[in-house]
Amino acid sequence: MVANKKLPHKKWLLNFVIISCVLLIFIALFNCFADGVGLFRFAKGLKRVANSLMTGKMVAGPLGGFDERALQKLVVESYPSRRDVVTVGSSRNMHLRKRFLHGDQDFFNHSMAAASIQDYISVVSLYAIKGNLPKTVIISIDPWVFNKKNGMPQWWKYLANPYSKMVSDIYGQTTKVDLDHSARYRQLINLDYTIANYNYLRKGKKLRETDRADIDDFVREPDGSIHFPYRWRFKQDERPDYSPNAMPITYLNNFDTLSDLQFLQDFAKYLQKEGVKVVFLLLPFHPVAYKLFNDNPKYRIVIFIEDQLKDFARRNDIKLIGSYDPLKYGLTGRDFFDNTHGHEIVVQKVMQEYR
Amino acid sequence: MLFNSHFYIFVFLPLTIVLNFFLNRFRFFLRGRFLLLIASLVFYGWWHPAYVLLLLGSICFNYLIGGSIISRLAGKKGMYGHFSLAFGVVGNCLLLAYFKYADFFITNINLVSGLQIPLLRLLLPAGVSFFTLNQIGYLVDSWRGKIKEHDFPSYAQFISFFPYILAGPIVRYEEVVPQLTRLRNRLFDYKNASCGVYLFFIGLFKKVVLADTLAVWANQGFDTSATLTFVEAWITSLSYTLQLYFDFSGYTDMALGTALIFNIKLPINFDSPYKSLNIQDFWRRWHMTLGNFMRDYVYIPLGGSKVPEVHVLANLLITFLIIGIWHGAGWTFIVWGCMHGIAMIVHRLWKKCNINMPRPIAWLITFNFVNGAWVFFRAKDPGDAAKVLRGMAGLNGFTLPEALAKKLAGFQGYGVTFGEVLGSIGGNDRTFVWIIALLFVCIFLKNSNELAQSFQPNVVRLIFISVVAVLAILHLGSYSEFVYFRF
Repeated sequence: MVANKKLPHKKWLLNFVIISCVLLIFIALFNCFADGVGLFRFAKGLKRVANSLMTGKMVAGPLGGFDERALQKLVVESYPSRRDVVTVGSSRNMHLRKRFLHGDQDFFNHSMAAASIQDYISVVSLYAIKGNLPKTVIISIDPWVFNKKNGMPQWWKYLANPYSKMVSDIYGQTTKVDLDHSARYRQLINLDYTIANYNYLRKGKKLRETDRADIDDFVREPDGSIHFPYRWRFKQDERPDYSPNAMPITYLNNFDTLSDLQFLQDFAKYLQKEGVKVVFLLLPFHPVAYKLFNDNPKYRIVIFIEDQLKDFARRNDIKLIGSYDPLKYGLTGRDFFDNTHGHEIVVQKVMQEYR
Repeated sequence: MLFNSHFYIFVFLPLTIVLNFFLNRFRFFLRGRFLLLIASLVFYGWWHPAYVLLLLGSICFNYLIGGSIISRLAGKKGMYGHFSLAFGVVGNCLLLAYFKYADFFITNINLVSGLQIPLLRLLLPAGVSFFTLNQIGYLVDSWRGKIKEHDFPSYAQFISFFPYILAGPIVRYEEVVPQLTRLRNRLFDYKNASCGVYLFFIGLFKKVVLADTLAVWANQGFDTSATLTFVEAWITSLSYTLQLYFDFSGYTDMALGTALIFNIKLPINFDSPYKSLNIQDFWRRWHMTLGNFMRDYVYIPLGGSKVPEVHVLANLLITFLIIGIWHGAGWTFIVWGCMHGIAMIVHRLWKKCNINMPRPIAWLITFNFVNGAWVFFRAKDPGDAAKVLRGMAGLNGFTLPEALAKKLAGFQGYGVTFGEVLGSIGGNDRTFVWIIALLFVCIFLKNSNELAQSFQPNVVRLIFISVVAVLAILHLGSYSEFVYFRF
């Protein structure tokens, strides 16, 4: 049998190196070609998407599958005048729409999936670089951004330059971010990225203009806010207010020390100094999750963070709206589709305080 | 530096191999050895270069003590040898105690006395537990007259050799240094390299594909869930039991494979431990180099089994207590060590009764004991351990799939609920498949050392290892530390 034929060790070893390298090179080329996230060449469609949003059109298509940070950069760069209000935050904040503000304000929602403090700073910095800082910045703060061990992806590094610029401005000294370019290239031989690219090519779901929000897809409004696909948009989490099966929140794992709180506060003070009105926004969690924060000592730090932020806001004349506590707004499990993400009504109720 | 990093696999290892054998090929043997030493120090100091100084200091200290024992006593165990040995062993233990146990002592003193002594919060130098044992072994072997001569380059290379410095296997001077200095081992050997590469990628696969997958459920169950139902708790504990094995044995495979490429054969550390039929058998198969070390340097010096029976039992308990403490500064490790010590005592007494147990029952008892004891080993505090054990005992109720709600509605009054079976630990149906499949692998299939021993350079193995290697490399993603790095 050929399969069991013994090869010389030298030949076997060389063949192993050649086969492995060929397979890896093939996968790398595939990923480079598909490049669903636009890591290696600027995703062509993104400029079109940014233009659509700027001209008041809605855009449907996957939320991931492209470089979200690059889109935010294009949006900021292609907008000519000074905005009244912008908001930064994570997917929890994506429902914040222009109509929740009072009056006809020039507003854009820059929320991005798994956003960190560094993301907040990077986006605002893009405006600063243009010399057009917004009049008001609403920072939607998730508690895990203060968890050093949150295990969140370091996507903000794609906006490392504006980030370092802003940090240098805040602290008055040059700050250079150690930008690990190799992380980008390691994606070429990464399984998750390969699968994502395969799905990207197979499903062919691309970003496109739409005139309807009631379609089963992510739909981005011209103000940057998002409508989720039906499986989340109409899902109601009807668990009782406390269940032993409370789904854990991964980003809060190993949250034993508070980090970056001072950093966020310095950022807020800097914006105030630059004449920007700063608003802290705390969006409620699912009642099950919030009960967990109260009951489990491992999560109690979330309650502590809320107290700290309130205290800082009070002392520094910063408006703070919302709370991680859903009961303060009469919210129930039906208003959420998982532990962390509420439906539109959650943001809407909290934003009444803004008015 | 991590074995499971792109930099190690694509840059550090190939570069070290090429440079080392290139220098040796042109008879620059001393430079070749120097290169390996520098490479080992770079590997060790990759995250915290300052700790290279600590390592070098420790090497110099032990080399001097060892030298004084070897040269002045020449194998005769006079008072001076006793003193040097005691000084050396105490010095090593103090180093370990300072970095590893200081905060544990302070915490407990504060607790008992009500004082507020601030914690030192020292960063544990990577591999300190392992290289300390290697050095203690070296001093004792010098004192026993097993080591007749030594030189600094060999000793420094022996302690710092990068394949084992961070997490073992624990090695003896006389089994490594002769290999490091043998002339024939300085030339590239395709047979050893093929076998080494084969073992390395099996280990990498075990770590990044198997162990890291299991880690998700284990971490959720132990660290984040408030409570665990019966099934969740069992899946949590089994996930960790399997994760620990695939993680640590995967690391060892990579260490053995790497060393073999340099023509160094290291002792094996695992021999299918979950096939064990009793606890003694388990310790002959699990972390074998630690077990051997403790036998030779703790258990036997205490008197071993050549003392009255009561003393033998005490020796067993002490030995396992030390094994527990060596693993970490915490009460959970002490409990874990005691549990194993007591199990060894029970096993010894049972053996004296001459009652044979059917093999399946023996396996079941042994495996479940080990699995239960790992709960203490993994838990960050006794509360976490209690949470998992309560769940395993069914005290938090049973959650069955929603699909069975109608058929088994009658059980609802007896602690049974219907819903997401593995909701708290982020598992799904595939979790069960993973656990069952990997238990099967552990219990019925050959382990990686057996695969390496029967290694034949044929086409089947070529295709197999190429696929395994590519899959493993594709899984190299975010930073994923080995479990044993924290010990």
